[in-house]
Amino acid sequence: MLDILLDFWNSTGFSQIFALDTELFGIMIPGHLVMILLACLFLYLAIKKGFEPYLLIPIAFGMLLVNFPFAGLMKHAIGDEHGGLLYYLYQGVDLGIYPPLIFLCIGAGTDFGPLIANPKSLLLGAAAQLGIFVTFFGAIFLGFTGREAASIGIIGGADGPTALLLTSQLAPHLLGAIAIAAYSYMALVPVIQPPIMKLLTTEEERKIKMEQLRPVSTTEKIIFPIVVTIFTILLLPDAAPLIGMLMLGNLIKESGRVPHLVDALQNSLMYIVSIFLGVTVGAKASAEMFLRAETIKIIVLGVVAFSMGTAGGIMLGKLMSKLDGGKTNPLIGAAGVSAVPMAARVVQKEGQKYNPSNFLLMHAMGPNVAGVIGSAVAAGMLLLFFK
Amino acid sequence: MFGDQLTLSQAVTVCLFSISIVFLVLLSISWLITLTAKILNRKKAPSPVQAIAAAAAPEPEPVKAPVQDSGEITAAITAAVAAYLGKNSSQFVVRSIRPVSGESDWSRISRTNSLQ
Repeated sequence: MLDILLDFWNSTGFSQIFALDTELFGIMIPGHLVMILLACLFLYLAIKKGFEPYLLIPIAFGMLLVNFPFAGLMKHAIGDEHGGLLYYLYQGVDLGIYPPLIFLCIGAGTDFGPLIANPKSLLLGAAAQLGIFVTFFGAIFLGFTGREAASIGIIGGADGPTALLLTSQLAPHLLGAIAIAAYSYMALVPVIQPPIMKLLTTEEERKIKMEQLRPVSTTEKIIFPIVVTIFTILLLPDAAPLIGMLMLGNLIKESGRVPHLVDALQNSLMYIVSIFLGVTVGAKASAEMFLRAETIKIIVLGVVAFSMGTAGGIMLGKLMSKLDGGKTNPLIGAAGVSAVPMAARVVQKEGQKYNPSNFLLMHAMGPNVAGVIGSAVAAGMLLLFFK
Repeated sequence: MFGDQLTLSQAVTVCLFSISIVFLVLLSISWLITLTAKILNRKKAPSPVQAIAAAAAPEPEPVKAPVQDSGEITAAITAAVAAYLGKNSSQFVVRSIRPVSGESDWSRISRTNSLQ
């Protein structure tokens, strides 16, 4: 009887939860327990504080599920033995399927009108990718390999699906840490960006009122995704999955012929893929993969990436403002880091703080959606170098 | 193209080359947008004959909208002001109502609220 009880106890997760099985900075710690507590903290931040709840709830729950001893939800299939549930769902990330599907849905919800009305804003979207490459360089300097550094740098693109696609292809062992860093900083855009905006611009520049954008015809909006797809993919075939899906989604929306498809992409498919993507990315944050010194470096490099991206956009905004005789408010450059539409909203709020009659939202949406294209192109370049 | 261990000079090459391509692609897209807009506008521009015909046509007399002194509008604006100030409408008097040229504070506040 005692043997049965002992066997039963040993088969439960409780017998292992306090085991000192993970080494962090030379100290043995109960890794599973730490990760479960961390997952609960992220759940608190998502539910109570509203930090990117649509993604952070599945990510945190995936973290929780994968850290139960013996549950084996991420167990690989070996021979006739089946793998765990999350292992099969994870194939959508591993094979690079979910992130382009999310891009398809984002495309169906994006209005490129402000960008078409002011094509110069594309350059602001390019300048804000500076953070990716500065951080890539920093990561190499800190001893990461080329593939790892590329995956860490892409956090600066402030675009979740792009970061996940690149990391799943180049450094899947860092996926959990990079996903959490990318989505946490995207939720913290209203905290990270305003001090940088204030530091790099003068009060006069922040007060600049921009002229109203010209109206954009439906024909222009329909031609845009087709032209961008043909040109970009011919030039950079590695960017095809992200740019192709983004522009397909956008064409479906702008065609005006298939409202049911637009509705399905903007709502049903977006939420379905988000759940699978979130829970499986969270499931990559197991104790042995997450509780490492590298994770802290990634978190620090992530904030550097975001800040440098914001600074790059603002600095080009300042240059444009000088060249066009003060017609451009440099604050809109900060929206060049994707994070749609959060970054554009931050610009709107900050602009109005210094000039209450200023309305920068639509002007900031241009660089904001350009940032999505910019980070997809940057990801294509990094894939080209390190695939 | 590159191995896992990168030298610093290789890292600089990757950075400079990549950021240049990102700029080149986005700059080219901005040119393509401008080009598309120009082609579409050229198609839309009226032919000279049509333009002359349009100029020769007598212009219709502009119709002035009658100034409405509707009690309903005054009542609605008074109610809105009362609701915004949190006062009873008997505590203030609306002396005149003039349309504001350009963007008014009211429309700005309403747009800001709808964004939040």
